[in-house]
Amino acid sequence: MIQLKSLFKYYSNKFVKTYVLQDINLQIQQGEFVTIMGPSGSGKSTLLHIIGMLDEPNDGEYHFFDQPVHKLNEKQRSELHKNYIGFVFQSYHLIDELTVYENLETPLLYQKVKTTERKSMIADILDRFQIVAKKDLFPNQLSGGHQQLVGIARAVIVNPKLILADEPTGNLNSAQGEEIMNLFKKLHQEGTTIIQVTHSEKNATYGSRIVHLLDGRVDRDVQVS
Amino acid sequence: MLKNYFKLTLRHLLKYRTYSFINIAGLAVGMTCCILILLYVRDEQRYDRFHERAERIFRLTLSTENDEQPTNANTSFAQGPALAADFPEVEAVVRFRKMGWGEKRVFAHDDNRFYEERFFFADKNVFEVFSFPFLRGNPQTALAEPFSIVITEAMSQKYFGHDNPLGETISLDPYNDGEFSDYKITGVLKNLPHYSHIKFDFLASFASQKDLAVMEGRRGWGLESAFTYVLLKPDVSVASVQANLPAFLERHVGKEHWYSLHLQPLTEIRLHSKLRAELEPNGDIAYVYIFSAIAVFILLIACINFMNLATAQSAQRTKEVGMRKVVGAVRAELVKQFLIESICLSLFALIIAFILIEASLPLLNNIVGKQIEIAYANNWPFVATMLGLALLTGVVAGSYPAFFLSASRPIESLTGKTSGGKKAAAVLRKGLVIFQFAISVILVVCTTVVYYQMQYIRHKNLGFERDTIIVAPLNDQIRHSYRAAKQALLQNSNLLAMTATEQVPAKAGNGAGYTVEGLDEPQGLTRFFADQDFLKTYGIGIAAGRDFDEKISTDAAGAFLVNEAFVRMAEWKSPAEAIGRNITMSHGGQAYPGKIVGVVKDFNISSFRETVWPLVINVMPMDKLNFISFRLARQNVTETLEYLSSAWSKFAPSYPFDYYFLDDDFARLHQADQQLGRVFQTFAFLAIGIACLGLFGLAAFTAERRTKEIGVRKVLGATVTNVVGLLSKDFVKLVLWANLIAWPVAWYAMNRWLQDFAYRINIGLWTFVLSGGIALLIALTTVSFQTIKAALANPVESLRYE
Repeated sequence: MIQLKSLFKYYSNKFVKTYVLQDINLQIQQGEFVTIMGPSGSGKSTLLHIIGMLDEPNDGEYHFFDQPVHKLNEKQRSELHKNYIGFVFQSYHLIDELTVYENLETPLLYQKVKTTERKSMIADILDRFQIVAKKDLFPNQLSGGHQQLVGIARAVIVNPKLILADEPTGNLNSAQGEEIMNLFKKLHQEGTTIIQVTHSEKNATYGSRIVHLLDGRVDRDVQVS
Repeated sequence: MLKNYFKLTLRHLLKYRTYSFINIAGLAVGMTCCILILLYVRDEQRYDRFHERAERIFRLTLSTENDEQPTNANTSFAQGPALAADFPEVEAVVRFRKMGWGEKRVFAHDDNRFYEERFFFADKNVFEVFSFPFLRGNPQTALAEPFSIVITEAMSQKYFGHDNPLGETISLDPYNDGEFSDYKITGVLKNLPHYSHIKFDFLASFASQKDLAVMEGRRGWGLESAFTYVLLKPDVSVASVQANLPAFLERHVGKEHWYSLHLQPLTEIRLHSKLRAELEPNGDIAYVYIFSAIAVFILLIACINFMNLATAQSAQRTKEVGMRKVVGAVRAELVKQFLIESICLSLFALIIAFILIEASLPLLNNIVGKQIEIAYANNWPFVATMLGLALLTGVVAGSYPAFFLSASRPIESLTGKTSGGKKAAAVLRKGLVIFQFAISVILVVCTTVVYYQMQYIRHKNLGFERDTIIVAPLNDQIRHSYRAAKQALLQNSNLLAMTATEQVPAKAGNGAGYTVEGLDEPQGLTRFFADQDFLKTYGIGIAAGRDFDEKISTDAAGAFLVNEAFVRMAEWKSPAEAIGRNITMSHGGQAYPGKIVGVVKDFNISSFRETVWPLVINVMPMDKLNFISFRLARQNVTETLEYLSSAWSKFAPSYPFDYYFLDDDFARLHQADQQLGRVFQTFAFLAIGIACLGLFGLAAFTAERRTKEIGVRKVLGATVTNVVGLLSKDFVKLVLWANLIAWPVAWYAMNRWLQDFAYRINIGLWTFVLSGGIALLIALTTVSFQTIKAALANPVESLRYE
């Protein structure tokens, strides 16, 4: 599904190049639940953003299914991104001015889903995530756990093939975190490919494979039994 | 999707109330100014266009200087009919005759007896050429008979109440010689719109004039109070008619004609014509341009507020933009979203603008002296223009944030990394603020200059005492008993002096030909007919020689006074050199020989745009004089006027006492300039207001953005003053830059304007320093609300979350 070949990412500051990612080679199959781990500054988030097509590598190849992403223009990339990928953030990134219902509706609007279908899809996801009662509340009226629940629901609503999660439990207490991780596990079992970035060993155990990054390189790549 | 945008816009507005208020208030005020000025400009442009055949109507004008540019709006009585006879291209010719210049005439019906000014004689085909709408009567035949008259609705009300006046008679004294005749009312017109350059309340048939034979005969090819309008046949080129006019003149007047004739389009009279003897002071296309520019600039200032605040707020908005991109928005959709948001805002502002317009329209009408109304019903072009304006404003104001914000890369906006774009945005923001303040400063400078020039005019010594003089029209009953009336009236100790004259200062001057001993050629100069009391009444000083003297019998026919300008023109070394020279005046085909007995000090008889021109004063018999001027004591003016009014009715029972203060008439000469001053004042005030609203928002934003810096500085020991200074410094710099740009522009513009005045102030540097200082002070005060608040905040608060 995802194939990265000798990927480089650096920031140039006048004469000095600071490498964030160096020679990353990685293959991820459909249906995997991959955890990316590593100390701060090792390039985890950058890698995730590149996979999610929110950022571009300076060098190297990126194939998504059969598409050479590194050769596509912005419009084609965002088309691909829109149809296949859902993103979950540590700080939820919900739109403050929209209610839960409207936040969930936004991606569907951009995909030009028809009104009736949209309504049933939102009703369905609200039900699945058990947040029907919260649908008319604004993000700041929700607890962190619930906000992240909405964040995941928003990522899942378009039935993406791939979910990318950047420290999804980072701002949550342990009980809330566990709930979220169970949700990911369930989604994985239903067939969604998931890539998460985390510091937590415990969260890593929910996945099937752990990629360790160190100073922008793949340090270790292990399967979880 | 749209619904989603609207919802978001509304919630956004409510969430950031201060910013929303600044944006909407700024846009609403900007739009109000813009629409008001548009209304004014449209009104100026629609002058005389209500006539169905307006495009084919031309005014016959005349050039006394024999060059291509016409100099006079008036002609005489014979050119018109000859033109109609000689040119097959001419469909019809209409002549209007104005009686006197500013001298009113008495109209009477039963006990209703009033002085009226808006009165003409007109040819019987006037309504075939002009489309003045009739309420009653038949346009074709209304002015066919002698002694028929058409009146307006307002006059019908005034003289006849609610009765149908058709067939009634009204009595008038058109020549002001005591001879009243009865005119039959044959038509009632709707009140004339203010956007007609020919304004009248009464139109009498041309054939009623008792001197018509003389006017069309001996005086027919001269320069009289006739206004000739020519209706050309359709598809006729004006140029071809114009080209044949010299030959036409030669045929009728002979080879040595002293003037040339011209055709001026009716629709250009209002904005492009500044001739002698215009029927009313015309507008000026330059003012239309100036006002339009101000309208655009003020709206632009409001749009800039919107842009600046939107980019300033982008920290909050970029997160949303990033989020939307992550969930699948493409850039076009975001651009659309921001544009819809700003268009919504500008539509909202438009609604508020209309409330403001309804409230301020009377004020505008008062300033510009019009009766502009907005007809909303079925006025689709207007509605479309207004919606277009809102749309345009929305797009202009929203374009920058739309394109700027939507371009941000999602990952940067979500992680809060700064990009190069922000720096560019900050530079642009500064540029826009400089632009706003430059415009404001220009307007303030203009206001100041216009104000001081007007003050200068109001207080400049005219060479006579203008503030205690009242003027009344002379009539035949007073003329006959002038001596007795004078003796009786001056019994009142508050009536200091009185004089009868042909013209009064501030009214158009008439000319005559003069042959002067020591000057080679005969001179065409301004004449001033008066009685022996003129200088005494007006308090005009003598430079050499003596005033007229009632005891010297030759003064009544052979004494002339000239002014200092005359002496300068003659290039005599001193006024004394003029005394005793022979002078002969030719006037109305008659010669008046005499001697110069005195030189008077210069005094203004016209607007300050003109220098004092050479003038000759002599005593003429009562029947040549039209006005009577009184000098009042400064105390008990009301009682004096009451006394005058009752005493007047004893000597002139047929004529009501009608007077005006000379000062008011002088003020009227500068009405257009006064209006300009008031328009500048109003809009300078608004421009600064809107610019400051924006500055207020920006200061709030800056203070917010620099909270952490302020916190750190305070922890390190900065005082409140230090912090306020730090935050204000940037804004002060911007305003100073704005001044630098504004000063030369304002100086150039105002210098051009002042060039039109023969008597003008000098623009001192202090004008600029003062205006710039005012702008700076206002800007600093505005900013200080935010900076002081930020400086007083507890640093711990701002640093806690870092």
